[in-house]
Amino acid sequence: MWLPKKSSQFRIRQAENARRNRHEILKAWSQGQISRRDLLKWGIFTAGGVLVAKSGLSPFVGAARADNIPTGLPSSPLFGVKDFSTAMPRFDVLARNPNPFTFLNPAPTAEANLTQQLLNPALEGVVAGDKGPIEGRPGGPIWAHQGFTDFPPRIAVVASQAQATTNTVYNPQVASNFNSGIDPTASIPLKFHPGLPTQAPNSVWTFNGTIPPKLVIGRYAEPILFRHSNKLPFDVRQNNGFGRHTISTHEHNGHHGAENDGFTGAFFFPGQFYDYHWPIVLAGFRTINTGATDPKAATPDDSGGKINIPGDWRETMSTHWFHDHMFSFTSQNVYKGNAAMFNIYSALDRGNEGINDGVNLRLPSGTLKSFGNLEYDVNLMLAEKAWDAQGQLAMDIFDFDGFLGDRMTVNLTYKPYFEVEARKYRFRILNASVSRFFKLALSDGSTMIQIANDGNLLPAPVPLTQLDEQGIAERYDIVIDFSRYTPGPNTKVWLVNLAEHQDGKRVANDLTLAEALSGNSADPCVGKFLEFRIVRKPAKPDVSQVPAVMIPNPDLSKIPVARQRTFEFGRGANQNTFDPVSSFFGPWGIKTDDGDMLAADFGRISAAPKFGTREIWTLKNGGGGWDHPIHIHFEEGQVLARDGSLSNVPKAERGRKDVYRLRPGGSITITMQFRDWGGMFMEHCHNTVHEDNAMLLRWEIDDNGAPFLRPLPTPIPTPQEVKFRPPTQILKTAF
Amino acid sequence: MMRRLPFASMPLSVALAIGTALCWTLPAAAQSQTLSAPATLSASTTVATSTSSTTTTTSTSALVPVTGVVTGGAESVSFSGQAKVSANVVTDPDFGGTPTVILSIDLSGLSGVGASTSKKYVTADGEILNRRLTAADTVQYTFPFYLSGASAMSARVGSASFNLSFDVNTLKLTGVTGSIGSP
Repeated sequence: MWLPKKSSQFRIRQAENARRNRHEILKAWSQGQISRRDLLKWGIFTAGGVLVAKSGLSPFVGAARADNIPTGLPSSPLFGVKDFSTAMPRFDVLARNPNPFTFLNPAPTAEANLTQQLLNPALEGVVAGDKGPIEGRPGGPIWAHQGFTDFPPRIAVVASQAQATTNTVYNPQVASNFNSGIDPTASIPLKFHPGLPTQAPNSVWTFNGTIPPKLVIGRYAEPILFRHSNKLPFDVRQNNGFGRHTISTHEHNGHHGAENDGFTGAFFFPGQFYDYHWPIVLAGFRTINTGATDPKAATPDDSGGKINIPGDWRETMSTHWFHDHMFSFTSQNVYKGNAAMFNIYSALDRGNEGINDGVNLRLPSGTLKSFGNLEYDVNLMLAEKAWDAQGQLAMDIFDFDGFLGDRMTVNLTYKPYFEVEARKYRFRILNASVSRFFKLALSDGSTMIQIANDGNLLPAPVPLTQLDEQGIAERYDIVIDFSRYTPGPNTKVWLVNLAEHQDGKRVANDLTLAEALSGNSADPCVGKFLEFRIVRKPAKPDVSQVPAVMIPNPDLSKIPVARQRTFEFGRGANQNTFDPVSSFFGPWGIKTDDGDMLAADFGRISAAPKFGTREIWTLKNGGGGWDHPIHIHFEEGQVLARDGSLSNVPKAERGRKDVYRLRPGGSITITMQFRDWGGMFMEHCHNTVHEDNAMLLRWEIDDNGAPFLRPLPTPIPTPQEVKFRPPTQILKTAF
Repeated sequence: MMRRLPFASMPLSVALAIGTALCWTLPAAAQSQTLSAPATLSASTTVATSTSSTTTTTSTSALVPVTGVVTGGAESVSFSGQAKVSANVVTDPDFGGTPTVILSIDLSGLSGVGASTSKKYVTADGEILNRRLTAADTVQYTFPFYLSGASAMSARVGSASFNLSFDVNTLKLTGVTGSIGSP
């Protein structure tokens, strides 16, 4: 797909021209000047979602003078930058502010704050003098924070979605010698490498407009109020060619009410904020261990002890992330920078390796603070990017099958290095790509210990020399013991990507380590991408552990199965609803319970499990030419079978999960409980190009109207107000 | 909200881009492949009909005698036993792409014996690879192993190599040999 390194100047020019043409189309599309249906009507895209095979447009068609060799994609220029020539910055920890009710102005409220403000007429649909609410959350009791009285927020975390700017307040929360020598007091311009150009304000939109990516530190029983302000340009055309200025922030893997989930149709506008209330409770808190007597169901206090809390300790979670979920623009917005991580600490996963109380698992972390030490606990965000000839972040469209960049970044830094001590480290690895799967190994083929999959510690650690493929949005926590290396200036080992893509549909080939290191792959993102430099011995003995038993799965076998459902993910979807806001047309779709393959409509209810029940869902891949990482919001599942058998489920996949790779032609069967909170949630492919092209559905909790409405009305946001409409459709098998 | 403008209102830059593109009209190179329906012998074939196509999955599995020695570490370890190799070959009728082989190699049927201590070593989880279907394929990878009952953190690493043959018409795995060695 990408042009070979030795391409002729003619071919590079042709490719660049075609890329510019595609950029103009994407720009007009992202700015609302044309719609996807227009592109189909004009013959720019086929009904199957493929860019029409025309020279000067498609990268797969050659120019007349190039012997019909496919044009290919122009490489992102490197401006002379060498691999592994800059340090990988750790995440930038967002401040934790006690007492949100006095810290925040205005103070947070259970129902959305509908105080009116004058609207900027640059917003679409706004005329001078119009007013609208300061908070973009849908108003009224349906979207009020559930449990706001029982779980009042105790920590406020504040962030803005904003244009690219220089970071002057970087807080890695570790000393410089644990951050490869990076001086946290130095200004950090928004560059993917010090040798690459500074990003223009509208090229990248991140949390607070800065890099490194942001990290929220939370702990159980300490509810967080995350106030997210939208400070993106009012004019939808000010986006440098891609990205939509309306956003909805999904706390991925969160177990809380739908009003805090980042529902795709609950987006908010520039000039507004949205208060997300993350109570951080153990699932099952309403029915299990309600007296908080189980010592493993506990949260760290500030002095090295712990406080018991209600709920099932087997539901303890650890590694989340949050990102945009704007309907049909998620891929553009996440790619543009709307992605961050969220570490949750508990008595089990304390973030303090030194406390030996019989509950703490003592995973690699550090000892300085009672919880949440990061010295040996490192977040890694993997995402490949592309940039144009000027070095500005660029997105491309050539089909609706997926988008791939050609430059690997870790923590938004191009192929960096990271200094480590000769001891154990925990790495929380997030695949934050748009469409790319990874398969990771160390360059010497040595062992990594996988301890968590998605948000959750596994029942037992799994030693691996190659991780399983990691789909978009999956998190793999691993431990690497660098004590097997002798520290020194030339002691290095690299993290290597083995998964070779030809396009955004699926992995074309999982290469062997030798193949990946050979440099022969046409995929620029195969091979080494992160260099570990083992620079010294630890100053103190490594007291961290990787216990043989971590968090066993909750035993659901005695809970009756209330319902079984099937969802098939495929192509050729029908659009049977035509709401201009909630419905969308695209080649991808979802077939529910052997019904029609339907394109997305967040006004349609496809499933409505009853509150307090357990169900079994089978997710099927409708074809062999693609893979889908399917994400189910709100409730985690346990994998019962792959292709009909538990024996096909790898050990590292036998914990609780929220993203399920189907594999080409494959199926996966999971079981979930539906409890604690209510509202409307989603299920979708996390190849976000697939998601944006209609592979998404809405499901909601059915409590027979007590206390949740049945069915829930659909929010339709405008700058002036969030309106509500009845569902556009309720599938006959939903309730 | 999103404005739907008629074609005539299309931004000039988009019109130019489309116009430029449509002036050149070389056809795309055809990409099609016809695969014969696989026969059912020892392998099994499942057929999944999606909205747009019929995908087939042809599954073959084999128990492969494997031996070899991993040297180094505290002691050399001799492995012997049977590896279970499963190949699910999945077709791509929608795009006419090369079938994918979902290859699963399980070494749990092997046991290792330490040369000095005669203690038993076990392997960890299997390996799963998505490979492009070819008539002959070789996969080589490292695998962790450790003393039976010991911590996963104590794992050492061996090297496994498998040579695989496929009938690209029937989509079946037709031959496989394997060996163990030092990385």
